[in-house]
Amino acid sequence: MESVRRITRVLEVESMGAVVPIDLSLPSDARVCNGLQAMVVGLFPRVVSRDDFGELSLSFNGKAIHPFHQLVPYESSRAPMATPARLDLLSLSTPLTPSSRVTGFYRDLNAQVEPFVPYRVRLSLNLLIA
Amino acid sequence: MKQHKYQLIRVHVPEPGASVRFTGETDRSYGRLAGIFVAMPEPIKEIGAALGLKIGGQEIFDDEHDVRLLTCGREVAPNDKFYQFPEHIEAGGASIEGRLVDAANSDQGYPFEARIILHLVSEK
Repeated sequence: MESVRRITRVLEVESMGAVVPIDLSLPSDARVCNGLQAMVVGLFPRVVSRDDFGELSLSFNGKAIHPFHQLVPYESSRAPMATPARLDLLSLSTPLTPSSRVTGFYRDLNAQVEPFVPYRVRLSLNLLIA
Repeated sequence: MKQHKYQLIRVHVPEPGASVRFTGETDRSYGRLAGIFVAMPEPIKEIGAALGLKIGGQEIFDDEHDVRLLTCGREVAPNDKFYQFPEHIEAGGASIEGRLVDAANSDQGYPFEARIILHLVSEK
C-alpha cells in the first residue's frame, strides 16, 4: 500500500488585487502529487459566496509541468450550509522529480468591498511517497 | 472478519482563536485507522479551523490542515461523512497527539466542544 503525505502551505494576501508569488519545496521522497485544494481562510461579511475569489496557477518540477490554473472560491458563512458535502481535493496525477519545486502565483480577484481585509489561503497537497 | 469501531475524541474550545492540544490513545483492539470525521457545533466554526494530528508519532495532518477537508454538512449520510485514508495507518494502542486551532470567525458560541471521530478497523 502506498504511503501518503499531506502538506499544507499558507499564502498571505495583503492587498486588493495582490499577486502572491509561490515557490515551495516538496519533500525529497515525494513521487507524485495526486491532489490539491486551495481554501480561503477568513470571513468577509459583505461578500457573498462566489467561485472567482482568487486565481491560482501552479507549475511543478521547475515549470516543466503546468497542471493547475484554476479559480479559488469563497464560501460565505451565510450559505445555507457552509460545507454541504465534504470538500475534497482536486485530482492531479503529476509525477515529481526528486526535490521538486512548486512555483506559480495566487492573484486576488478584487472580490472584497473596501476596506480590504487581509486574508490567508491554504494550499493542501497530497503527495505519494516512494 | 473486519471489525469496526468509532472512537470519539472531545476537544474543549474555550475561546475564539484558541489553539487546543489534545492527546489520547487509539483502542488497542483495532489495528488500523481507516477514517476520520470532525464535527463542529455550527458551520461558521468549520471555516478556517485547522487540525494537526499524529498517530503513533507519524504525522497524518500538519498543523495547518483545514478542517473543511474533514467535515461535511448534516444532510450527508453518517456512513459517508468520513474522510477515508487510502494508506495503511497503524493504530492498535497508538498515541494520539493533536492540535485544533479555532478560526475566531465569531465571538459567539464559546466555549464549545469539537468532536473528532476516528474510524478504526480490525482486519484479523
